[in-house]
Amino acid sequence: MSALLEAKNIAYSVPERGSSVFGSRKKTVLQDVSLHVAERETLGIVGSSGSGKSTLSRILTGLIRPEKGKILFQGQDLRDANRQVRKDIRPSIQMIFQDPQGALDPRQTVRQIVKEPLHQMALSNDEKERRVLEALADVALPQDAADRYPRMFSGGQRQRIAIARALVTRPSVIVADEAVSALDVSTQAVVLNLLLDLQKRHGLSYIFVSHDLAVIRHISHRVAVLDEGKIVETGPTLSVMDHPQHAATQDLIDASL
Amino acid sequence: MTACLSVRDLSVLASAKPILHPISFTVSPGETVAVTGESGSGKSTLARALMGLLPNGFKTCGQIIFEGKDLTTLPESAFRDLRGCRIAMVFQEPMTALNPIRRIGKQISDTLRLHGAVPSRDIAPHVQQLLDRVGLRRAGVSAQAYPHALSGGQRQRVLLAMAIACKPALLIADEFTTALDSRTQAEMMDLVKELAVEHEMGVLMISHDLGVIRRQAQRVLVLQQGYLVESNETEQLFDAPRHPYTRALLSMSLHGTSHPPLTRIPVPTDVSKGVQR
Repeated sequence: MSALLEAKNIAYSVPERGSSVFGSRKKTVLQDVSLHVAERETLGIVGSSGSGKSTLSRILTGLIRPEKGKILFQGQDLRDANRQVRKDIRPSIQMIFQDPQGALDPRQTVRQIVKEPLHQMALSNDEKERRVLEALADVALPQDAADRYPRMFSGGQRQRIAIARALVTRPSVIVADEAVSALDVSTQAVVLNLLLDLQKRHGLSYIFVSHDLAVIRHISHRVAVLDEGKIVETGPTLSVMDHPQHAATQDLIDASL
Repeated sequence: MTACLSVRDLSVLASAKPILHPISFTVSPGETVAVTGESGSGKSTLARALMGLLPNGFKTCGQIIFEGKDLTTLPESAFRDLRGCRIAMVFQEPMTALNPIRRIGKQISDTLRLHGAVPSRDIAPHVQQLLDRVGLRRAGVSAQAYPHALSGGQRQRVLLAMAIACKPALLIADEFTTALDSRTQAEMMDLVKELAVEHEMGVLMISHDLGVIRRQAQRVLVLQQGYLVESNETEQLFDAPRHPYTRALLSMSLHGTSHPPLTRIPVPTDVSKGVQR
């Protein structure tokens, strides 16, 4: 299977706390991280807090630039690509965050929120409107949801709005950073079911980042275990979970309730 | 053992519409009782009712007996003395619960000063003791630190230090560990358990996380759409759930169940539509 989105030898560091601007010491966040996700595949990235999960998902979506290494989309290096190519690729990679409350602007209607990723795309207004309604239908929200505000929805519905916003550009990869961690069990089940349905319907690939092994186990085809900025183990989900090779993986399994 | 909290036929009405139907239970000193259910089941309404923090227009019926007083009839001024002192609370969001521009030591001493828990000359050493007790000193966190410099787990420890500052008889923890990763979660729960025993403190934990509940609570109350549908000892509830809703909740959780991966999780919408009593 060929890789759809691929990260090669990614490294990232931040200035250590308390160091000066001059001769600052660096703290390594990610070190030589390589991974890929194929079409219609879900890659789970699991790790404890501070392992670099969120930084990695932000690098994968292009929200921050890696210090070393490259991100390839369908074999195309995003760093080498010119502005226009990057602009064309960007809609194909979307992201969902943990906290739908914080990720949605409270002063915008659901229509404005879901439509926003389309602003950079050359589409007619009618087409944009059609896409918004289609995305809302995709996540099983009623049409009249478009004119309401985020506060009028429950946590699970808000996360569905965030998913609709990610879907509206018709992406091929969605990076989900702790997308169901803040939801209660029943809502979590509903959102996970929705993500599985959407994958089937639209042939999506997911990179699913979570500290929750049970969720990762349920939704991923393959997993990569991140520990202190390095990928210490990777393989098919069940073989990694049932026969962990690395101590960090075992720790995560033990801590999982 | 006499109960530290005893709730009798408590119900809550929002503009004449019942949102919590009569519920009775007790919490003993040192005991942890969990309240669970889906969102909208009335978990947080119950917590707010106990703390006297229901929004305007909400009405309570029944009794909440705490240290010999009925909290439902207590005037707000008297309630204010109880809250944060005899009844402490910890919440899910540590960042919003802490003041970002005040050092954590100051925030802890505010609690002590407000309730006159210790003489003022003892406040500083007492704050140090509390930081030590919740494991922050060991982690190298000083009283001078600001909340932004702390990790999520450390912030929760600060909240916990504030909560236990006045040695409360009852701790209400509303989705306290939900935002933490599983390892930090396990550490925090062990700490709360130790503190409960140490201070003979009753703990009422509100959580949707059945894994956490199984590990932490001695008894569980299951709420569905405002009704108490089942309450039992933790092990019995998990081993032999009696109510279909409890069974549905248990089967929906990915923890400890064996759903085939990459398949839809059975969501019992038919169960949550109506309450079977």
